[in-house]
Amino acid sequence: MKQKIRQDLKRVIAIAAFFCMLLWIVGELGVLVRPFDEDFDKWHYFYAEDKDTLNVAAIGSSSIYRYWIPTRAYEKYGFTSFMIAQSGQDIHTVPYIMEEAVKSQKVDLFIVETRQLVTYRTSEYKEQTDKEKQQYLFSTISAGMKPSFVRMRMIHDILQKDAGNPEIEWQIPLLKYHDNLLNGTWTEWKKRLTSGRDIYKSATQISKVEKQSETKIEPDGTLVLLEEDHQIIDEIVRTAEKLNTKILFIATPYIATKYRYPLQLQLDAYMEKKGYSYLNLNAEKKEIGLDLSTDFYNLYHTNIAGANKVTDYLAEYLSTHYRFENKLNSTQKKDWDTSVAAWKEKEAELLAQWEENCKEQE
Amino acid sequence: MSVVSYGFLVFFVLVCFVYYALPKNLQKLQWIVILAASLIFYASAGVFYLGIVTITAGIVYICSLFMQKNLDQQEQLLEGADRRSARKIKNEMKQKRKRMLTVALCAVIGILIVFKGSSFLIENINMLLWHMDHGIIPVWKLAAPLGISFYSFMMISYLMDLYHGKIHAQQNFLKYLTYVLYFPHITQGPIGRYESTGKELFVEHAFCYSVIKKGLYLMVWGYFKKLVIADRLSAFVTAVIGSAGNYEGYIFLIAGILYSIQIYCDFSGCMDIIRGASECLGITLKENFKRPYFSKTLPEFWRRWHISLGEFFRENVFYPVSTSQVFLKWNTAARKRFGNELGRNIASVMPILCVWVLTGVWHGANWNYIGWGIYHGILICLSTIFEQPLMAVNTRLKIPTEHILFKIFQMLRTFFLCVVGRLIFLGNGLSDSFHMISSMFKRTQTVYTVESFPLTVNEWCVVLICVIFLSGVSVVQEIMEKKQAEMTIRDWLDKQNVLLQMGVVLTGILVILCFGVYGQGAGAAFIYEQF
Repeated sequence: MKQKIRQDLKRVIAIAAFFCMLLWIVGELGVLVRPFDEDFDKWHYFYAEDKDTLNVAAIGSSSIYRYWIPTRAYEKYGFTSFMIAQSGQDIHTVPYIMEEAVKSQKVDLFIVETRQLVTYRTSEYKEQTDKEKQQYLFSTISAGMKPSFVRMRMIHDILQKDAGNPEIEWQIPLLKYHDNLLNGTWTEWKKRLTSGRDIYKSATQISKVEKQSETKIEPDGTLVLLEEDHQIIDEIVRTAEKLNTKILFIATPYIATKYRYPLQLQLDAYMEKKGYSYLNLNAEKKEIGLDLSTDFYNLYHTNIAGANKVTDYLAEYLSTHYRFENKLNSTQKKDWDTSVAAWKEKEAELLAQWEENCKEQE
Repeated sequence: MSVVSYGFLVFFVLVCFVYYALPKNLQKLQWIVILAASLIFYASAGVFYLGIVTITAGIVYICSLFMQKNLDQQEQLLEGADRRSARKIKNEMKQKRKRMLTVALCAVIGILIVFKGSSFLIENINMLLWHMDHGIIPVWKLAAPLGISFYSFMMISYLMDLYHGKIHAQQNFLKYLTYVLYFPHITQGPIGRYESTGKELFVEHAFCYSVIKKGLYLMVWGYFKKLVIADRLSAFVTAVIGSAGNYEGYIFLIAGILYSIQIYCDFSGCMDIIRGASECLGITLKENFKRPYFSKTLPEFWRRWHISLGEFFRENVFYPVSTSQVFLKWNTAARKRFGNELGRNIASVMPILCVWVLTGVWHGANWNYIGWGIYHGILICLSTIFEQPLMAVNTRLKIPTEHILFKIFQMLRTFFLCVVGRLIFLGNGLSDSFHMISSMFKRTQTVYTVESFPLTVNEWCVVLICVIFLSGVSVVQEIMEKKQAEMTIRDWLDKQNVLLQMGVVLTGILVILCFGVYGQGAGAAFIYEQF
């Protein structure tokens, strides 16, 4: 009898060990076989940063990664930052991103960019973003995230479920992306397996120029922020409190349109009403020194010139309003200094091209 | 619910859990768990179809009760009867039983024909009517219930076994329904015998770790064959066969060879999944494939491929036809004309062709399937007729028939004949098939490259490695069987160190997950599910 119990126990342990091994391998492979698009690499580069070396984590969509240059802020004000930002990133994913981020980086501050709140309710957004694209945008966040209960909850809560889009394939990315094992080229695989940190520390700027102008817009009251939009902001604040981390909401500057401006005003009012830390850079365009004719490449995003100005303004604001302790040892400092130098080279190229583009615009 | 879907895996785990979680005093009710699971499984394909199967099973059940009553009466009457009286009683009772059997067979076969053959029959009748300038009959296309060909044959097999007194009729309708609807084998067989499967279904099955483990090994092997090899090759085969008119030359030979591998991996893979799942429930289903491409002759091939179908036709078509008055007369005449040996062989053409036409029709009411059946029937007839003369030639020419090279030649010859048959089977019409076969050995100017087809170089590499591995395992299994080893590769693996077992299974599962064709957009169904 005792021997039978011992044998049964051995079997249970063996089976449990087998499933743990299988789940671990499947989880690791799932992250490895994510699509080869750059959009899917954001989490990889975030995880690649040494543990607890970041002062600030900035979360948002292209409305943060086209505006913020971490190495520039580090060079001028000495604090480190990184962006977890993908194009069209759904603001509902922010609480989960925060929970995931603090596992590897005990940041002093989360910056949450609020553009998505004034975007996804508008008809222009709906026209541009069909269901397939929405799923793609969501997949750029979920696919690169390491397997965890946070990711499980995020997918379960946010994914638009239907028969052709089974949740299990999202929860186990290997099931969804296993074809990439055979479809990836040798170059793509070599890059993926050997890529370490992001030399530019998540900065992504471009040199394109498109002249912009602003007109006065009178809201007609048809577009409103809904209660659920308020709730997501509250949820983000609660998450920050739970994680014992400060949070700053920001609205990066863009050209006001009849779709977004009314919602922006309502968002500004809500933030003020609740007393949340909120920096509306739309109201600071003059102070930032933005030139609408040269600093934007479309209505909603700055180019390299605009990004430099916004980074300088925001970095100064952060350094005066928040205390950032040095988290880097000498090796890590060298790494950041290398990134600063690399970015300077890249910036010089972009600015040279930007000047050419400005001349063409004239 | 396909056995390669996520839903089936969850469903199966739940069924196993409930099945073995029953307390010891309720284990005799495990068949109710199977019945419930089978009803859910089949209903997922459509409640209407579940109704059709249940009604058919009901008719067979009622007829079987009458037939059993007849057999019981016969037994009573035979007590104390002398030989002459006994023969008379048996014949009389048999005639009565035959009437019941006929009613049941008409119902089963009638429903099968309505769903599978009616549109084909009407289309062909309409062709004749059109030539005769008559009005045409409106064609109706009915979606056939899942697995109708398989469960209909299981019902026929049950009725025939009962008619011959080999089994006792199942008195409990729900138990009979459990046998018919048993979810592992309802969609693609094997075409089970009530004698064996029926017994195992209704006894208690205690949890046995080793049995379940071996069942899971078989399932993993089945998923490997189906998802990694068969479904990967499907893209290429579909591209060529689907637009046969756009291709010419050796490409059809390649397509035929690859389709032969695909259909073997698809069908035998499914069988392995089904048998493995059934073994996990403690119920053994008969093997349906025995490495058929190692066959040296076509008759041997058909003793190794879809074994249960072959057995069914042998017992229910070949033997009855061979022992019929018509055949006996034909046999006598042939032996008188051509001599004993040759005459007997020539006479066997009739039952053989009957079997093979029906085998073709079983696959579907389609001239390609019928043509395929006739092709194999003719080859088997020729094989039977020329078996002795060929042996004599080999002896005269001192050909070393036991040499491994000669055996390999025989295997390749048999395989090639099967490939030709596959092209008949696959074509979109007989003219398509004829084009493919005639074009196979023609010289062509067209050069085909990897880029001409859907599979990439990497995918071809995966297929090649997996087929080599599959062949290796098959060779080992074949050698083990030739040496009359008591155990299979699964048995051997079961006896190994637990780390090795875990390593093998883990590798198998990872290969399936990494290189299998599944998920959104994959959607390849089982080839034999359509039958």
